Amino acid sequence: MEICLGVVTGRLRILLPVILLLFPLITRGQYYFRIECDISIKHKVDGGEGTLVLGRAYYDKGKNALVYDIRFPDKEVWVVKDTTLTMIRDGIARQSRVIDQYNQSTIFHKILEGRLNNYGLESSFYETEKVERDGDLVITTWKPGHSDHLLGKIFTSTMNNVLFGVVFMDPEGEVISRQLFKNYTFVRGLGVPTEIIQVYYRDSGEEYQVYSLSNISINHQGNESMYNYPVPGM
Amino acid sequence: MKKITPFILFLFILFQNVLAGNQNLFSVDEAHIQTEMTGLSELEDYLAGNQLTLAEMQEQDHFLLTGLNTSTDGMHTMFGFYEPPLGIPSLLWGFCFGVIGVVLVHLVAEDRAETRKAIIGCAISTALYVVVYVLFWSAWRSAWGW
Repeated sequence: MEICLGVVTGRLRILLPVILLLFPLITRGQYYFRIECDISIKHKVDGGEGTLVLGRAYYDKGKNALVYDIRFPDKEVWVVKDTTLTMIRDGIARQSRVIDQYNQSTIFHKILEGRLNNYGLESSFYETEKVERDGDLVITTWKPGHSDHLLGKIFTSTMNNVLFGVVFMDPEGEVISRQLFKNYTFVRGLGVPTEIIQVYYRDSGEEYQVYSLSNISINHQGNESMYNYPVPGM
Repeated sequence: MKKITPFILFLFILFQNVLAGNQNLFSVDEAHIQTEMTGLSELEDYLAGNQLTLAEMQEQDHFLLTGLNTSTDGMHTMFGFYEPPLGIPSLLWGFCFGVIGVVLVHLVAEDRAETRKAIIGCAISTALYVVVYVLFWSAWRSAWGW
């Protein structure tokens, strides 16, 4: 018995440092810090004109940098770094504006954080009011923790453990917008919707926005020139 | 029992409709949206194989640009920036120009949130006007001993 204990203890002394050394490598495989994809945005006013944007998006969570390499309508690069959005064309910064906490509100950030299922609301000032099942959908009602005279409720729904839809209400209970998340693909274990349909209800009518994501890559170690895109001074 | 059964049945149907309403909250007319997007989808498919910019297609007077809003830049589409009239914030329009400013913002922005900001601006300027008027009138009366 004592001999067996001695053998086990001896092996632990050898294995423990090895495990401690390998632990970061093992867990890093579950840490998602980058996402890039081809992106298409189609915007249309009901019965009116539409716009199209095509490009490739690069988001690095650690650097808090989101870069859009746009090819249509114009060849330009949009860099959202920290709180500033800069539009760069022909190597020159053309426009710049403050855009507070934009990166953290994007779907890219929510996907990497694994918070897409609740649209990131769990870590916001919104509180869960109700959770109910309706057929295939699990519907969660979120109410604002403060400023409820300015903000309305949000409803999120999941189907098969992935986000299905989000509905935003105004304080009077009118629907402001709806978003549907469709055609999921799984990359490195992360579920990514390849189509997002948004409907906005304005006083002048409905507006539609359709995002299409393709050629998705997670934690890609190349394309450093895009993830570290230099922002020229204006 | 005979009287209770229809009532229970009514409650059951009502309950089902309530549940169905929650699911309907997430429904949109996708067929209509895809129809609205037809022209943009065709343009997108064309550009998948042709690396052209809008300017290059405009030079060709390409038919696929029909129905495309060429005055709105990509950043507006992506980030939804609203540019108020003359670049002046909606709050200031209401503050400086009152009801006229509110109407102008409402017509240009077509956005409830921006109209609300203009109304707030108008309300602030009105409240300030009232306060200044009351103070002035009080001072005037004091000065004349009324």
